[in-house]
Amino acid sequence: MHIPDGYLGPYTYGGLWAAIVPIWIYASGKIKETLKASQVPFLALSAAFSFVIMLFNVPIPGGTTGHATGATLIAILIGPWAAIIAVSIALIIQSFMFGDGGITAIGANCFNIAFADVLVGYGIYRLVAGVRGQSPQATRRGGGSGVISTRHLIGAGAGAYIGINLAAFLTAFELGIQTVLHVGTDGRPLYSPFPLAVTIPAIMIEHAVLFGIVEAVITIFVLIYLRKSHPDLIGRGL
Amino acid sequence: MTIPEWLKQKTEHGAQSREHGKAKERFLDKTLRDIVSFTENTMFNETTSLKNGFLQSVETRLKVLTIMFFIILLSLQKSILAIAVFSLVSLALALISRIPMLLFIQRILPAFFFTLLISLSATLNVIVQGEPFANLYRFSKLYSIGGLTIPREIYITKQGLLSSLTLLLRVTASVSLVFLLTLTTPPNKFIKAVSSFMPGTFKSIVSMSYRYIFFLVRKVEQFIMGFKSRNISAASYGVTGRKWVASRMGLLFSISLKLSAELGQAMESRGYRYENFKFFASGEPVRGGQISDFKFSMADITWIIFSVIFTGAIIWKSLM
Repeated sequence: MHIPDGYLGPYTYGGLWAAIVPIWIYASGKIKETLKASQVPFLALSAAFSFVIMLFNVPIPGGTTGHATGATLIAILIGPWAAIIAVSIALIIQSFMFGDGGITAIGANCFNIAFADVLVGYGIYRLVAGVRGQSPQATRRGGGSGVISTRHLIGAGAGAYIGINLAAFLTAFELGIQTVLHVGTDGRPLYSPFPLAVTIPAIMIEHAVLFGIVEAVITIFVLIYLRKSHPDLIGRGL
Repeated sequence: MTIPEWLKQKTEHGAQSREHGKAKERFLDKTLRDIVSFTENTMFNETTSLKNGFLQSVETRLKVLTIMFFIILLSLQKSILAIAVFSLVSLALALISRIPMLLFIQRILPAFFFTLLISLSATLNVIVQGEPFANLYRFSKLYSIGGLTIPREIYITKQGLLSSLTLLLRVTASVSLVFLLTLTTPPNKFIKAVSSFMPGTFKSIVSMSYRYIFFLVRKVEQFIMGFKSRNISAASYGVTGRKWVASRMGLLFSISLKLSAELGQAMESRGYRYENFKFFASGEPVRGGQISDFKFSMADITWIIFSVIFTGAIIWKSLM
């Protein structure tokens, strides 16, 4: 789902850079409100954790494998604003150091995965878990009880599924509009040549029936593991 | 000496289909392969970045800034010729930087083949309409899949061919420029240079995060090797496999939190002051990493002259 360089034209990647910078500033401000002594290494390790969980190949029914972004999971574990920063840093390192995702497309990839996936996934988690009025800290503790209930797990799964599908939709949309925004004088598309009628079904079908389910299952399983083995870590975020 | 009967008997797990065995191998081995390639690439970057080549002698921040500018300039190009020039220039720069050509091409190939594969379909009139270039097939009636109507005649269009070529060249040139950077810069210097353009605390977070990625990757490798050595059956695929992956992610999270707490304590005990930290401010000076430390070398001057001439030529060509 990482968009490489060359697929997006300047209007799209420039616009998404312009959109993500204020989000980073706002997220940084929100973290600063609760800045504690251990916050710098905490965010650095959270970004490293975000990077490394994307390396895991998850077995998928049918014999193939896929990767999980872990965006909603990280938001539930460390809080949505810290997750935006952590996932963004992971994506920036991936793009610069390993050529995974384009440099011009950093704004787009961060907007889709580190912002839309994280915030919508986390929002749905809170909505389904029925903890709208509570603080993020209390939500992460399972409604303040220190326990993650089945309702929280369902919320986490739904959030992960919808979050990754939204990110996939945004990716498909950004790629699909290139044929409208950037066409040469000779009629050839200058960037991604696929129209929305191709990009949306091509990207959405695999996410709706496969990768979304994997993301949801992995998010639920990680929370079940933490509930059993490290209950003290739930809600230790910002 | 004869083999005992119990050893000859197939266990329930052993009797499982080969497909499951292969699948189990696939998800563990794929992760291991990704880890090995991740570590190998970083090691190769370190090796090539220490060679006595041209780009290795250019100051890191200057190199990062100019190559990022070239990537943006490339993204603005509409002419196939101009885009091709970027590919040729990056090849020439790789040569004078003494990067082994095979290694350079190996790095570019995955992005090249991926784009080639998907851009092939864009040559057809189903995706990009335009003037016919070569006829391929004729259906007896019109078909429609979702919002896409398949025309009666399938042919390669001139516009589709040019569009695919533009995309292929643009992606290849962009990837070449990124790998020029990574292959000619030691990873620690590169991450320091990239983070030097970031505001406040982001500098520390990015460089600290990069260092600990390797620590966590090593942990994942240990998890997999431990798991493989304890399991000989294929039963670990499917739900069990997914549960195992999830449990290792959870464990990795607990390791990350523990490590971050220890790091925080270690930093505090060394007099690290968090009160000075601001997310979007200049922050505390980093020794050896500030622009004020910059001194021009001959290689830097040559690189600046080349960059100015190259940019000027590309802009002049675009305006023509």
